[in-house]
Amino acid sequence: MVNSINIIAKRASKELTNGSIVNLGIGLPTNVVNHIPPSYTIWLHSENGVLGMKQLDDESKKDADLINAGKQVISTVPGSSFFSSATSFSMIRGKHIDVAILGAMEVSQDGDVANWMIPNKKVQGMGGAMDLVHGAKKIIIVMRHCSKAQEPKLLRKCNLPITGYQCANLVNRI
Amino acid sequence: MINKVCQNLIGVFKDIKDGSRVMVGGFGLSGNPEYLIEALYLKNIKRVTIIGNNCGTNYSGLGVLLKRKQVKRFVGSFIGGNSMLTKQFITGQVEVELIPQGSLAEKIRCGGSGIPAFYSPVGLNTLIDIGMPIKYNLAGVVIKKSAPKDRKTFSKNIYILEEAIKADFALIKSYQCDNFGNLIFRKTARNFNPEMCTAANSVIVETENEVKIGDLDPDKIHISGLYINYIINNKNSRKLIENK
Repeated sequence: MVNSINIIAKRASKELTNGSIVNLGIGLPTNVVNHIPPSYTIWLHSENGVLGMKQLDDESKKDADLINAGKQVISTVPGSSFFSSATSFSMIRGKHIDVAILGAMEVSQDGDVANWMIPNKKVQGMGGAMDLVHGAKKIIIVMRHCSKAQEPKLLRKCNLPITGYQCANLVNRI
Repeated sequence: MINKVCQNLIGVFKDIKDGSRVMVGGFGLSGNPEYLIEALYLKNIKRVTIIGNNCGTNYSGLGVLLKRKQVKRFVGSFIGGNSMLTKQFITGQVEVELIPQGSLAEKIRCGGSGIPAFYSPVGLNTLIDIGMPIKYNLAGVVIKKSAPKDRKTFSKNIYILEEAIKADFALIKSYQCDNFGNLIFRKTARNFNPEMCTAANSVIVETENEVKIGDLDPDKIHISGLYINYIINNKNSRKLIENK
């Protein structure tokens, strides 16, 4: 069976250019890391306050003071830096992040994105998603074509509460 | 010089009363003032408003306060890691004021810098702008919403007015702290902690390493001691990891 997550992540990785500053959302977007060409230097930003993170490759170096926005323990590359949440979101709102790759529950034909709440079912909060869709220079949405209930997720108009209007530049779906 | 270093929490917590507004540093379980959160629990301070990015997990961090129904309102950006809070919210047991993470950080930064409000593009036309559910009743019907935001156009773009946030107390976690309260944070445990130091009437720091004045390189200090009121030494943080 073809792994749809890998296909989506691989396709999204082709949008990245060498040297870009990239914020990867929780879930499916984190898989994009596995498809970045080795010759590229991509600076991964996590909104909780780090630029230059990488996946933890040595379990013995696990550090509770070093996590990403998904609250996973991570590691850093040479040249990385730490900063406060306020500074991190100044970077985002100030258009200093080249690309943000996010998951979504629904996306409309105009690029409206909904990914933070299902009324009366799931209220998880927007975290940094609303800031990211207004701040990053390019917004890529990666998602499956249908929800778990087999409902289409790419719609004329979103039904769920919106994260940002007309913000998606590219929808990667399968 | 005033001695800010406290041997116990009796003096530190004497002013924290039921109904206080308390900012708590941390992102997930990283950079949490664990000992101070436990003190809020042990003192059983009730009807608190907690301002922080997350509200712990079902078993750890600020989650312990929710379990005992000590929280009147949680102000933050993400409650996804805490199913108890989500359930309490949609059944009317606790109020939740959801704010985009960057707006939350900037509201706190402004609260500590004498800026009463700022215009932001974040959340335009969304529930943040037009009215976000804050309180549900037992049946899951929204009975309180945030007020619609004022707007203004700059260079043909529309922005919404976000007001600053301040608190009665800030509970902070630092890596190093000297006797004046100069702070150095460690890695991503910094998160909301520095700005929260500036935006509360009384600021209590829990530090992993207490050092003498003069021991910290002034060029390396993240937050000046002028913001800090009390210092508590806690070498024995558990430092839990939320997601393996």
